[in-house]
Formats: sequence, structure tokens, C-alpha cells
Amino acid sequence: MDVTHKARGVLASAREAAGRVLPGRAAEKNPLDPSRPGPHGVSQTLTISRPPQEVIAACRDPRVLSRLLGDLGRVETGEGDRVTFVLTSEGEEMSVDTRAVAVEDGVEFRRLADPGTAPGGGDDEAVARPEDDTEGGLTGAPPPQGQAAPEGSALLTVLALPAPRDLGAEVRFVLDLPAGAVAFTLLYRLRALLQTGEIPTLRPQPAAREEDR
Amino acid sequence: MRALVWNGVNDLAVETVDDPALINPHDVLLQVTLTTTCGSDLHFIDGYLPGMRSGDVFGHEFMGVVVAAGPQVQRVSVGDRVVVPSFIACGNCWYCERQMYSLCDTTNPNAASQQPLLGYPSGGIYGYTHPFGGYAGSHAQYVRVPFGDVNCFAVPEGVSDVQALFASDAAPTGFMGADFCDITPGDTVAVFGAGAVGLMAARGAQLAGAERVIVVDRLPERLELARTRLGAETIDYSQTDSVQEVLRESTGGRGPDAVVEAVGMEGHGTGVQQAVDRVKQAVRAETDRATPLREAVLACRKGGVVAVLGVYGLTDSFPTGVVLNKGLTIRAAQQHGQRYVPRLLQHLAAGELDTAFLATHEMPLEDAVRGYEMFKEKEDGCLRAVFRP
Repeated sequence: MDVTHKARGVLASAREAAGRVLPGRAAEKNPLDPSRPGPHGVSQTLTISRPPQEVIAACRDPRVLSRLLGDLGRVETGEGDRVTFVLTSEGEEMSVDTRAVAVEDGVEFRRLADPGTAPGGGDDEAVARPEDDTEGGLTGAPPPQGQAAPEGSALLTVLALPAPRDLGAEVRFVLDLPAGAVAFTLLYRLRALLQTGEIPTLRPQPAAREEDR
Repeated sequence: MRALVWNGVNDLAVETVDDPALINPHDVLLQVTLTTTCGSDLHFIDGYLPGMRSGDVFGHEFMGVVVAAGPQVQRVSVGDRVVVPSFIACGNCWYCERQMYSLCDTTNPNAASQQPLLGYPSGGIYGYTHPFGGYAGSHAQYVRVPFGDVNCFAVPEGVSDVQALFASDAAPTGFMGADFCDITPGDTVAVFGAGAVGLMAARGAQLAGAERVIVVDRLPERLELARTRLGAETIDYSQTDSVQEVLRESTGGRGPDAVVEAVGMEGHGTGVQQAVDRVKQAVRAETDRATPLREAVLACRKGGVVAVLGVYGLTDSFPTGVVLNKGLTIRAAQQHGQRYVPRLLQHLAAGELDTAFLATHEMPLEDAVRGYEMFKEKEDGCLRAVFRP
């Protein structure tokens, strides 16, 4: 009995430890300002040696977003301020229509209603109130599998605050997808692009593999 | 082009692959003149270091001639004869600005796969697993070099190709190890491992002012090189009961002021712990056979420096208490080559440094599989096999 209890304890510890090392498992507090709640989703933060305004401006540029996505998809612009993220995974494409909304210290790309469905959630004013986040409402946790994310929820939140000394900006990506590695990859690419003018890229790549030819 | 590829554990082949191309505006394409084996390659060839994919072109220590340059390359021109450090630096990030080039913050395309283990990913490297970037390696006729202005160093007249080749990795790694030792005149430095990196660490320590350099290994031909080429003292650990004791006794009971570990995760040694490590590594219960690392910690004098240059994974049974109670400083890094290459080329041009003797075997790239066999098994006194694509 005691052994079983201990084994459960070990398993629980291992699970907790794994949760700590998996990318993007940062607490859902706002690390840039703990007095404010953070948006939900997987999050990653990196320091980029550029002013916060420049970082945010780059993140509002669909061409930059497309470059950041690279092999993960692309970003298309539509009427008005519509921004469509076309995400690619194992040959399948998934489109998410969003609108860029300025928030304090950053920008959010908030989901728009699926054209084929009934409107689901109020006007822009309602979804733009940051306090909604604290209630876990419109920008709540990712919905259960098979359910569409609610209109107005943020697919991607980008926050940038001045970093200490002369280090530039502390930039946080919160991605409402169960993929912390993607958030880190996008941030890493953003840092490379803003600091060096290019993104580390491998394709085309010499290899004795069909997929690399 | 022809290239040496990793097709699986202990499964190498020279195959025809696509030529590399300029991808980014700071890229350079190099026609590889010489490229050489490195002991760290053996870790993934033997299957101890994960992250290779079948068909990968590997190799990371090389020199060659620039055959194409991207539109934003300014310092390097087509036709330049250059040597390239193994880690890829951007020259712009926080780490590059502080000359910690192997920690570059922007050159690892697969950084996300390293983040869970390291917390903060390293820079990219040629031909050395996908978590380390997944770049194609140098055992090929051509190789793409990102950020050519930062990573290509022109080889001066009078320095031969084979001399320059080792300024790519073995020499800067060794010199970095000597740098880590904070050597002051009169110091004694012990170097564990008489491979190319260890021998270059020994030479670096001499040039930094060490009075005595003592090289430890078990292979007579390598110890002979340390004595005859460098004038170093040597210890054959297989012929003594205790290297620590020999070092202690030969330094008036003080111990060496610094110890450089230049072996890595497939180290050899004697004793029970080595046997335990061999078994654990064979069944993948441990990544490393870390006898040389432990010995280095035990051998160093109180308050000394242990410089770790060998590649390790997650070492078991590391003597943390010894480090604490002896007040040791441990310093380690993958090589920050761009910091050292200019100085090394000056030493080579001035005749103060010899690296050509490291190339014990030279052969066409087509024979590279055989070259790696010789290198791995240390046949015919093979210290480094050098390939000419």
C-alpha cells in the first residue's frame, strides 16, 4: 500500500516536472507586470534588443508575421483590418480569421466569427475590455477539443515592455494553441529578424533524404 | 555534390546530394578544400548523442575557398581562402557582442527543440544534430556558411591549408580551454586527453605562460606527440595506479593549478566507476562515461580551475562535494571560435604554432567512411583523418 502511495507520488512529481520543462508552460500570470493578469494560452518571453514600439510595429505587419510562420503557415490580409492566419500541419491547412486590436503594451489578434456560423459574442468594445480576461471569459482557456474557440478570443497576443538597462524589449508571445514550441519558434525568429535582418533557415538543404531535395 | 552522410548508428556512406544554395543575404558558399574528423562526431555515430536524421551531411571542422556570396556580404569575396569556426555566429546578438559566439541567440533554426533541455538554446553548428541547428555539414564538396562576414576568416599567405584547417575547431577549442585556466607565469596545467583538442590546449597553455604542461592519456603515440611536438610532460594513466597521486607528487604536493578536460562522454579510464559507466552507457541508463571529468576535478589543486572542453550529456556521479570543498572553479563552453581564429592565424603565420602534425591521415572524401573507422579505432596512430573533397 505504502509502495503504491509512493509510486503515485513519484509519478505525480514526474508529471509536474515534465510540465515545468515543456515549452510554453509559464504561469498564466503576466510576467511583465504581475499585478495584471496575463492572457491565456501557451506563452514564451524573450528579450529583443530593439525598442518595444519597433517590435510591436513588426508584429502588426502581416509580411513579417508570414516570415515568422515560414514552414508553419502564412498570414493573409483581408478587408479592413482582417488578418487571416493560415496554419499548416502535416499537409492540412487551418485558417483563423482575426482582427488586430491594440492593447496596453501590445497587440492582440482576436478571432472573428466564422462566416458560416451565427455570431457568438458581442461587439468589439465588449471583447476589447482587458478586465474580461480576469474573468476567464472571452479570452479564456482553449476550448475543449472539437469546440470552436469563441469569437473575440485572442489567437495571438504580443506584449512588449522596456527591458532593464539597455537590453531593448521584453517580448511575450501568448498563443492560444496547444504548442509552446511554436510560440518559442515564432519569437526566436522575430528576434533573429529584428537583430540580424534574416531568419535562420535551412531549406533547401543538402541531404540524402527525399524531403530535402 | 558528393558528401559523407550519417544513415544511422555506425552507418556512414559517401553519397550524392544536392548542392547547397545561398538562402539568406549574408550567406556565403564555400568550396571545401579540407575537412576533418572530430571526436565529438563519434558521439552521434555511436548513437550516444540523439538528434541526427538519416541522410544528414555532417562534419564541422573545415576550410575552403569562397565561391559565392550573398548581396549583403561585404568583407568576404569570391576566391578568398578562408577558415570557418564550427559554431555559427550572427555577430549582432547580446552573446556575440560579448564574444560568446557559440551561445549566439539567433542562428539555431531548431532552437525550440533545445529549449526544454538547456533552458536557453545554443547557437547553430554545421552537421551536428538537429537540436544544434540541423545545418548541413562540411564533409562535402560545398557548404553554406551563414553570416559570411562574421564566420569566414581569410587565411594569410604562408599558412598552408592543413595548418589553417585546425584553426576551425581543434585549436580554438584548445586555446579557449587554456584561456579558461587564467594562467599566470609559473603555473602548472594538466591536460586530460591527448587528442587534437587536448594537444592544442597544451600548446595554448604554454603560449599563455604556463611553466609546466602535463598531458594525460593512454595512447603511446599521442603521448609521444605531446612530448616531441610540444615539449610537454606526459602521464600514461594505464601504467599508473593513480594519476592524482602522480600529479600531486610531481607538483610538490600542491596539485596542478588548472586542469583541462579534453575527452568527453566516451572517455576511457580504469577502476570500478569506469566499469559501471560503461554498463550504464551501453544500456542507455546514462549518457556519459565521465571518468576523465571526475579525475580532473579530483586532480586539480584547491582553488584551481577545471576547464571542460569535452562534449558531455547528462553526467551521473559528478563529484559536486569535491568542487565545493576544494573551492574549484569550473569553466566550460562549446568553442567561441571567432574570438580565437585571428590570434591563431597570427601564431601560425609567425611560426609559433604548429597544427599540421595533427593531420596524421589525409585522404579523398570518397574514403571518408574508412577514415572514420581509422579515427574511431585509433588505427595506425590516427589522430585526425583529413578529407579532401
